[in-house]
Amino acid sequence: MSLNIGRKKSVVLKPMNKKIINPLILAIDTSCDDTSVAVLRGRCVLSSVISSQVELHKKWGGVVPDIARRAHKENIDKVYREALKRARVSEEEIEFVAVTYGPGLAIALEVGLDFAKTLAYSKKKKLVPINHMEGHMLASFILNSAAKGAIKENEEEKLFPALALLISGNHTEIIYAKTLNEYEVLGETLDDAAGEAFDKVARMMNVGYPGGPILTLLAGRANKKWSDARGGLIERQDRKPVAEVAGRFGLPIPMMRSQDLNFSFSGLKTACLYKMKDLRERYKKDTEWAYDFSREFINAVSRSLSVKLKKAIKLHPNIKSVIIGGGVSNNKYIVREIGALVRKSGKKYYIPEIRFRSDNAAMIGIAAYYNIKNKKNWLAGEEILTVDRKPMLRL
Amino acid sequence: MEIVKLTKKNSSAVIKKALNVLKNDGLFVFPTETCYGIGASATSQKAIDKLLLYKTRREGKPLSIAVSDLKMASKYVSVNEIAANLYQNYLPGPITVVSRGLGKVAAGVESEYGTLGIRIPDYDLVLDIISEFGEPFTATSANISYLPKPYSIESLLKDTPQKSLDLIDLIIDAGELPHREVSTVVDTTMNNLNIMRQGQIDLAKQLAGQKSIMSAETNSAEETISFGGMNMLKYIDEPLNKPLIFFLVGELGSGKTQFSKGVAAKLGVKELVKSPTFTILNEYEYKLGERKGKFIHVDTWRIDSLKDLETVGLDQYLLPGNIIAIEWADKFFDDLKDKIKAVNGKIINIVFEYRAEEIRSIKTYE
Repeated sequence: MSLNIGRKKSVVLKPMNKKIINPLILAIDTSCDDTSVAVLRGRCVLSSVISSQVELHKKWGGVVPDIARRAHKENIDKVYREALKRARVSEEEIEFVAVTYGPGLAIALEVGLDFAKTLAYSKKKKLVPINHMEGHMLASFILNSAAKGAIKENEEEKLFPALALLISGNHTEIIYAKTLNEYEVLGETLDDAAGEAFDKVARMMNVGYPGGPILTLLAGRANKKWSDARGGLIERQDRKPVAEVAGRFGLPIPMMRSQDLNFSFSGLKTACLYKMKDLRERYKKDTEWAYDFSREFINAVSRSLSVKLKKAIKLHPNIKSVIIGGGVSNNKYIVREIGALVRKSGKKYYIPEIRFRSDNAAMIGIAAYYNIKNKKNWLAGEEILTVDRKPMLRL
Repeated sequence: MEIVKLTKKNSSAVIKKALNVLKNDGLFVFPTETCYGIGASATSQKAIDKLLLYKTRREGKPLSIAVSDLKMASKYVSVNEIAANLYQNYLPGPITVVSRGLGKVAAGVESEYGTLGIRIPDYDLVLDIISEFGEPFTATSANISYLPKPYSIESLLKDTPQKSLDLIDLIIDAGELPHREVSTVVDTTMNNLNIMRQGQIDLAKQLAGQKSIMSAETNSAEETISFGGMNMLKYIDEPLNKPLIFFLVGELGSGKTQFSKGVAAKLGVKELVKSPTFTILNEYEYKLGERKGKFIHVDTWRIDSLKDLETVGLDQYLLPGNIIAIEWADKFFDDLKDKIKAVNGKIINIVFEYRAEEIRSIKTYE
């Protein structure tokens, strides 16, 4: 098995007090269905391996817990070896083992955490337990193996205070980050997460799983006349205030009247259900409406996110930047709207490289890097054994 | 290896060449509406082995196969309602539809869990080759693993080592293809409707003729939450020596999570009760007068069997004093009921039904 395609030579960073400044970090994430392991030297990712890349996890499908657990168990050692190999480092060189201990699927988290604890304890390495959401939040800070990235060395502090919008299958949160390691959740979803709403609406439309990519694809075929974020309303007979309806189907933009920074996608989901019942009755087998409907649904989600983000920026005028993270930020329509909003606000805008938006271990590594550097947050010896998974962990 | 340029006039000659390669277990590169693909007869083990050798690694994704229509697809996979909807309304196009395979293709094509991805490329030449061949061939991208997806033959030839190129018998060159994203993979095997419907019919039967204990017509989330609270209040004095389980049954968006929020609020749970779809099982502590224990919120939407529910640890929560709300309990109703009866648990069935826009009826049965 030889593999030296597209791999760059790892760079050696400034040696000054190398131990703390550029520690060699092994990072593990098994919070959901992919087994991911990454190796970082300081902020530079030397390798980032996700099980589905390694031909081990020939899985196509949603999460089935027993399969997820079995797959993680079968994969983790191989993914670990592959990550070391691609990073060209040996097990002995690893100083810190970073691992997600929550939030996530309990039985999946367990596998990664047990592996990390065993490795750290038996090989006398330091363990850095990481909150998965802190990983999403800091994914923009990852540098590639040639030490290139959006945020330059020693520029990190200039981004703070910052707001972060984290949007994934399990979370929708706005975070106020006073510094790199001090967070406060300003708003979050009261029911379904944004990614979950995509999955469920896709399910109602009978177009399979996961919902994000397929609804985005269908939305791409929407009639231009309707597809503008606001333009659809012109065609509606019973006009409602622009602010509360996403388009001609009358899908509500969630939480427009709420004064806080929370989200809710359950009402939108229900509105989609009812609207689809109508459309199916009216158009029978003709499903032309699905294109425009997908576009309008995405508009509703996107508007809801941007309205709350705008409110948050207004409430916190002192912030210097807005940081995006999480798998839903792969959605081009959502990113377009949020990107435009942030640029208009004059704040700096950061979004991770595409490969670091969905779940990955490199983001756990970068979060560990700052925990080590700024807070000396690690465990050693017997302490390692006390860490337990926390499926409902909060930031 | 032969490279043939596709022109407006030579398509029938090109199709003949491709058929010849397919029949002789060879490999050929062809244009699609996304990037260039590489084809090998999906039913020939020799051809598939050659393809796997070419790809060097499979990027973890099983190989998808190209078919001409729904009819051909149904010879190789079991097509459920979701898949049928995709075939009928959205294909041909850049979508790979994953279904349960029927084991009719060479080893290495289906995933290890027996699923198979199907493509109907939106490219006439390819559809013509499939129709003439009468069988599917692989539709994986023509690059070897870890190299960029090829949109032109020049880049494919430049990026691919000669050793690998030697395995290819024919390249159909249609020039530089528009740089459209690779196909979107959707899984249709999750939440198999047949299983769910079976369960729902059973439940309706079991409850037929029974009188509901409580009922409400709600037309907002708040009203559904409040009805959840009323239900909890009604059962608050249930003996503490058994677990209390709410079976929540109703379609997506019918109010199951809102109802659970109401139950939790009545129990004095302070934390925000969010949808457990992703984590499958959420655990909260509660204390209310003499009652204390755990409130467990479960969602079986993403799982397929009772065994999965056991894997996430349901059994350890079936304890006296605990209150458990299970969304989509009808998915494996009978098995779940037996399990709960075995630990002397009390089951309360909550059935959510759509009435009219924004109005739903919720009924409580024992």
